[in-house]
Amino acid sequence: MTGQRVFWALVRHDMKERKQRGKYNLRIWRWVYLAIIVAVAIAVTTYLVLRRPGFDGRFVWFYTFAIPFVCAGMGTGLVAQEFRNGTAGWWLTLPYPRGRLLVSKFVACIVRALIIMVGLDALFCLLYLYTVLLQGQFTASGLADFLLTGARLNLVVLGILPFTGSVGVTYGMLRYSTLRPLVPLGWGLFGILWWFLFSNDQQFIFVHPELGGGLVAVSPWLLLPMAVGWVLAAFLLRLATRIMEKHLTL
Amino acid sequence: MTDIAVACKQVSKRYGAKTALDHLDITIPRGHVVGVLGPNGAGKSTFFRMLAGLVQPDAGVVEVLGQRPGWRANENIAYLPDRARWYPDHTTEQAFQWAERFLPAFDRAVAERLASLMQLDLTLQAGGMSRGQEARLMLILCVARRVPLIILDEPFSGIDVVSREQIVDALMEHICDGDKTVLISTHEIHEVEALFDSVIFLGDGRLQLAGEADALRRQYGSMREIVKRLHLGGEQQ
Repeated sequence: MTGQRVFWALVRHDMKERKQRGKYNLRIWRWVYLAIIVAVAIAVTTYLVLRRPGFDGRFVWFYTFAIPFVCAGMGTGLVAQEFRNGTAGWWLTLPYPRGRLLVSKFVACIVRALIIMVGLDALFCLLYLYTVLLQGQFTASGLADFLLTGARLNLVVLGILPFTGSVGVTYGMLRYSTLRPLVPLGWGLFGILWWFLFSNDQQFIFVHPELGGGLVAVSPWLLLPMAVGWVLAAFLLRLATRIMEKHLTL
Repeated sequence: MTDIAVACKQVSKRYGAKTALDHLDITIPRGHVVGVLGPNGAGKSTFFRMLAGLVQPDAGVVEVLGQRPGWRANENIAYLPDRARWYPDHTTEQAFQWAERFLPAFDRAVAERLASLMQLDLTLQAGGMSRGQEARLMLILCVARRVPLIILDEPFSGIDVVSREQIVDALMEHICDGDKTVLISTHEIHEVEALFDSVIFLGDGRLQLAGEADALRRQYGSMREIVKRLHLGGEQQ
């Protein structure tokens, strides 16, 4: 197979969720909890719509800021599962460049995060339709406003995902290396970088509670910290490759 | 193409205070089935991991098939890692598909023949396999590759006698054809020693004894006897 075909085959392999050996089938419970969360969300929304006349469903889009952290967790999990499931020896002796093995996990965690985000987006759109129909206030402009808010925050998160995905993958490699003592220092650095790049949102993301034009406006200057995040992502993946080559503990 | 499959010159490896390999000198010619024997902690797994590029030597030089170990060299090496497991969601069939995609020179027809010989169901999921069935699956993934070097690290660990016999029979048929170099480490010496052309005994990270299997048997009686003697007496090469 050509390098590119192998790479995408690796991504597809990494996309599959694998339960840990000897653990209960968590997938069933995940659906149970999702059903509970949806039921609670519908109940709470119904209450808010009926009891609080000023309820603004657009704020629900701020859930998207959890997605980068989900992506980091999945990046770590994809690396960790090779070691936990005893398949690391197979994975690490594949005759392909180390960087390709890691980047496939990085791409897989981003794609998985995007799939989750798209699924939740669809769920929240349905919830929005439910609330406006319950209020009897459905308008095309209101729907457009809701979708515009979601699209903007989705784009922001899309720009952040490479950074957090690379942090997750690098952290996963670090955990199984002789450099493991650096983990606390790594988390400290991640916190500082996150705050420096993205948390100062008053400069980049503006909230306009009035209707029309979307709940949030995004400054084009946000592209700057995003671009720095992409460069850092490339650096972190290079670092993770180096750890994989030289510092693994088996 | 060199006639040497593996060459180690003064190779040392330490894990903190523990010395895994201590100035190891080994030369293994091509086309031999070699038993790498020794007690736990002798350095067998570290030696194999080094050949597969998983660990780097602290000192010395390692060459595998004329190359430095690493991902490039692994194209020509089928390596069964120590204490390995398989992806629990894969069936035997899916494991073969995985191997076709990612392991160069994997021969699907040979794999299916071996699966039939070892009575391994193609629809069985690794997560539901016994240790013996999973070991057979992983062994097939290595043995069914048309590569010049096969490294099997403890392929019989935790496997019942019946499975071990099936595996040895399959190995006899498929790896003793003279053009492959096969390195096998095992504690199950009695069942496997008929496979060996030559044997290397490691102890405390050093080469303790090496030679043709038949000559060693003539001299010492049996492989088990040699291990006992080396373990108790520390005989040098």
